[in-house]
Amino acid sequence: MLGQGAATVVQVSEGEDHVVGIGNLRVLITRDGAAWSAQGLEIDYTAQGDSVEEAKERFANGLRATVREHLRIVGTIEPLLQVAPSEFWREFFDLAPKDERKRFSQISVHRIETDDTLDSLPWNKIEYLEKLPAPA
Amino acid sequence: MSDRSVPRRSALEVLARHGVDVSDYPDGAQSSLVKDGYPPLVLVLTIPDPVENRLLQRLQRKFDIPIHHFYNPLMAPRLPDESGSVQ
Repeated sequence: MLGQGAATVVQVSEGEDHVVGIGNLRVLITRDGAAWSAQGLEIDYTAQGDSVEEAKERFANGLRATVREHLRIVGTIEPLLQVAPSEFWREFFDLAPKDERKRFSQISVHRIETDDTLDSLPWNKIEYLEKLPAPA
Repeated sequence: MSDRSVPRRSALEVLARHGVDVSDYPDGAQSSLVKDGYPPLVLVLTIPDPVENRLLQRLQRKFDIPIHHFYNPLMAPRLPDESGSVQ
């Protein structure tokens, strides 16, 4: 199963306070040289780690920080909303049914007037699609 | 290091020489990359060593800068604090 519903992104801002919600984002996990890569599909963001878990952690932390910097510098996350190139979508659709397919959702609260980022809301619902190496 | 990977230092230098401001993000683990423009190009990420192919591709897509392993600083654009005179 590919999960339910389309990917969604919501930004609500009032003064210096911003709430950003990202729902049902698909993230492709693949081997990349000696490392692992996490590539967002509906949002073109990439992270690299020495393990699958590290790639996932860096994806979540990096995307959240990138959202925050967009709010601080640009005032909106709109420039961030670009889909990944078609080659990654082809890879996604070529995944065999046995491969693990998950989705990713997260909500973050940012107060830009100070350096405090309120991280209390969950950022633990990113869902990943792991493309595992074929057995030898 | 694989054939398509680039040392972290080279990747950062290429970005800097093409006008990308690279600074440490407050969490200490990530770097903030910003290039002026309208709108500014903004990316925060952990830049590992070496940088493998997919992350290199992402940096190239974001900033429209070619980054490859045969980078030669002598042929790169000057940094803002470098003089234009030839020694």
